[in-house]
Amino acid sequence: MATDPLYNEIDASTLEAVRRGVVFQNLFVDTPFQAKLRRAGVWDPFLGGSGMREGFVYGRPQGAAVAPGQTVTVARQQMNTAMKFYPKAYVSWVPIDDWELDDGSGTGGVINSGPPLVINQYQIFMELMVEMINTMIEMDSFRHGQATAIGVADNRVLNSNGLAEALNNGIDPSWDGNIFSTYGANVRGGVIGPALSAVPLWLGTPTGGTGQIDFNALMLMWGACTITGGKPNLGITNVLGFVAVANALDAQRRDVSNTKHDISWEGLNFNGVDIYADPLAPSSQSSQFLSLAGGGGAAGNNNLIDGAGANTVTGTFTSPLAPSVASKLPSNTLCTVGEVLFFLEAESFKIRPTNKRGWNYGLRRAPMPNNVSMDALFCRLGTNLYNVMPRHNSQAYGFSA
Amino acid sequence: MPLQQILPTWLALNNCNFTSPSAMTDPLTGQPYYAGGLNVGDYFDTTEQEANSMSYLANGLLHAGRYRFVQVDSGATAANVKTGTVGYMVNGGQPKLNLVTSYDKGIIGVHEVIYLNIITPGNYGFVQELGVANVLCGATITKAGAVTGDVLNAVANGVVDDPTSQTPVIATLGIALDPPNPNTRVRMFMTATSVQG
Repeated sequence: MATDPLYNEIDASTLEAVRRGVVFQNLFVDTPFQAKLRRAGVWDPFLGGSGMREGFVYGRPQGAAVAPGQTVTVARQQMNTAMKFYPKAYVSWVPIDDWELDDGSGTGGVINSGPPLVINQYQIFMELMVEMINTMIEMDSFRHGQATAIGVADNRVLNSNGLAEALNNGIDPSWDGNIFSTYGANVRGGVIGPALSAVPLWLGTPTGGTGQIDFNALMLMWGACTITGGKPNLGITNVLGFVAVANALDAQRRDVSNTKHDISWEGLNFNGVDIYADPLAPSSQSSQFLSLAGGGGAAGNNNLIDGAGANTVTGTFTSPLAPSVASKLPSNTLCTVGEVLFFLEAESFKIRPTNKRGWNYGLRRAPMPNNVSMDALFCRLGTNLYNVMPRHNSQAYGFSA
Repeated sequence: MPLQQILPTWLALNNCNFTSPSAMTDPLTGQPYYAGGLNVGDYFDTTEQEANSMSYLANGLLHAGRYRFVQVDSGATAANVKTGTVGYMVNGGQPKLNLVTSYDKGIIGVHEVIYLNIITPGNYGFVQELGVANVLCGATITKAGAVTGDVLNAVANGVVDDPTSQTPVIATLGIALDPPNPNTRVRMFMTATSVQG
């Protein structure tokens, strides 16, 4: 109920002190993974086409040590083929009421305009839609972009291809519990053999509990990348995983260099691998600090989600009856994933945003035809992220901070 | 014809209890701010994922269906306007589609809606009128061996019951998608008619 008189003397004579144009970000977080990939020069604009084809070699020609003058049968088998990926569409949207807001044209915004304007709400929309797309892509980059299939429990065919899918061998589960028998639509372990395979490494206990990460685990990951000719140079793990790595190395007094990198992320360098802490990387504990799981509060929308409405909080899965020896997974055991660490060769990735302006963080404004003031505003991005040499990379999980 | 697929809801669909028909109130005068684009009678359809993402989980996970922004009549019985109970057109206020009331003050069988959360009588919020709704079962379930697929009827206080006779009646709301269970919210596919208002 209004008071009588309406304004007291203080409110009638004094406005609140407010810093014009300042809003503090208390939801989204910055992340290093894609920033580091871009710095590695893997930004490869998608110029058009039915998909993204990436050729690769999996076979060899015939050859042998011979006696001069002998005859040989000169046969030829296929030696190279290609992967195919598809552009994925990411969109964030808001309704706008041009009675309330102006879009910068100066034709609307009866309310949010003029000297009383403290925050340009339209600008808030623009910035948050971009943040939303970036967050979806970042979280999706740790998961996969395949349809539901044998071994793949969740349908993410609309999502970007990601690390769980890339760094798999078709035998052992990735951190998300899925076993990906194909990559780039090529069958792993078939005609192409292990050409597109990377073996996930279990760091937990034989009974499925989480274990500790240590120097040996890091060397095993480095070795898995290096033995196939890879040069791992980027490590990504959640902040909690980073804590575990740092603590393990410090406890063992290993010779690591602690460096500050110029994108403001505290980094650990291990054997040529710069390890960064990514708040949105898979973790079992990150949801204790970030709004990642559940309803995200009473507003319903104050939780961070990926492009499928999910997140990167890790859980449990039952290991297969016959996991690979190299994975060190126990057989048919409920495994707790805990924290996850990736050793990556950044140059083996590709980020493929379209070069079409309307779909490269471009806007589409769609009026509701019979509404006097309401439009839908869409911020759009066509892109994908995939890896052309999965065997140069490694993932490990099953440790705790 | 307030079909409105482009609109603000300001809060999660099942956490709205506004004093204003636009959801925004001038804190000084108490008058509504008519801006932003939300109006009484706005209704819209959601997919399962959209409804999930607009849910306040403490009041349940919403599902695919049709939702409407309405006023709860000031004469409604407050105790009967809560998550999962049934509302109807006001008995004596007909034929207003966007003014609903509690079971005990409504015309049974006319514009049945499901409340998504507590709404103070006289206030505004969203209700569900089609699709997969969460309904609150009464303290007792009449039918022995209640199962998914049973008919659910509205009964006293706006809760639902699984009747012995499975023949639809005027108080029938829909078909159970979970086994009915006393004092529990279960999912139900609404078989109500669709009306513009």
